[in-house]
Amino acid sequence: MSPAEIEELYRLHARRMAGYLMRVTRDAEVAADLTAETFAAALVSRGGYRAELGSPSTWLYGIAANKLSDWRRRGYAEDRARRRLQIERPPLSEADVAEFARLADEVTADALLEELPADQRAALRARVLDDRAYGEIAVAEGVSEAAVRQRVSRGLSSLRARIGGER
Amino acid sequence: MNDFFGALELELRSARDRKPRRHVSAGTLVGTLAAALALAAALLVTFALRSGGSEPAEPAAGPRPDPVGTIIPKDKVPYESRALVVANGIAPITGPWQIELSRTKGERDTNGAVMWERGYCVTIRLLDPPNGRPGPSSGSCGAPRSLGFRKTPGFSRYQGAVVHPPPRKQEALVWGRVPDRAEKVVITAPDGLRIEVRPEDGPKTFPGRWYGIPVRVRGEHPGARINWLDKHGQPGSRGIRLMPPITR
Repeated sequence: MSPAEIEELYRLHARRMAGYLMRVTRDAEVAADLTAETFAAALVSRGGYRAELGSPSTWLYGIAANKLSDWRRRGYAEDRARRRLQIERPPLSEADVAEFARLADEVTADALLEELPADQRAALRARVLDDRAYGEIAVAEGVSEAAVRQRVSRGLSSLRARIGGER
Repeated sequence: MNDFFGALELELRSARDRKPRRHVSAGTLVGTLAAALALAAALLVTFALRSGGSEPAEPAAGPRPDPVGTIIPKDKVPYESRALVVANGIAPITGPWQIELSRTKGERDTNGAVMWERGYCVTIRLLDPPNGRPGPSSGSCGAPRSLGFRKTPGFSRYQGAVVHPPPRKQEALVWGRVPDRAEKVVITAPDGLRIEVRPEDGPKTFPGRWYGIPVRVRGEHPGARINWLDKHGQPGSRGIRLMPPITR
């Protein structure tokens, strides 16, 4: 993945990412730290992105989930990637703090679904939002019922991790 | 309009062109140090032979900051416009620095949302940092009101850190703008840390006073903040929290 693609990812996802991290942490300073660290880490490790394993946004949210996990474990947001790139996390003005709060309110289940791999997203939509039976979804998707159950399970698990719930 | 996202994008954009710090193994480090020591010893012997060992060495002639008020042509700076030097200084480890102001037409993201508005970019440029990466270090862009000018002249804080190669001395440079009525800028922490400086006037062609405070990082100072004081010694605001590595 090129630096230009990371820049594109930033423009597409920075606000949603910040809203998601704000929703989880309930602390604008921490959310800002984690947002900056996530994109810095993406820039550092862009060579490790594998398209066959998921979309760029899925990869990005995976990085964010790891940063969140570190934050929960250590009690502070790590800054390893930022230090490596000599990136300063911009200070937050009062307007920024208000913006983070607004972005957190904008993060909906639908928005989070968009970040899931396509197969999990389709399975979750069909099962949870449309209330269709596993067997029916399996026929429609051309896969086994077990595969659909697995996609729903993995999708729900990813969503829980992203919004901070326990597995 | 939002300051944070525009500023972070600038940071990421300037970082993408920098090489990440290299991780050097202990073996390589020892080998490099040994080679450097051998070279230094050889140079000392050569110098002693040439000078008879009595003449002092001349000070190194490194780059110096441009005077406040200097206008740097557009083709000499990586900005959208020419730049105006509004403050400068030389820090013990970071070396010479200068704060530059340029104009921006603004920026929108792919969804059309404003990343930063038409206005100014304020950037600090390191001229001879010990890590060998001179250039814009940190800063932000936006409308004048968003750059700490909202209560003209306002208060802003930026921060960047530089690590010297072995013995890895670390210094953070805290810089920004303060109101005209600011007599002092002060960094304090509950552990007793206190650093006071007098802000400097900017150029006559642009209002405001500026500060740049080098902070030698020897350990963390939890709860460290920066604020400005008026002529009565009263805090001018509730202060702004400092960032790692000064605090955590």
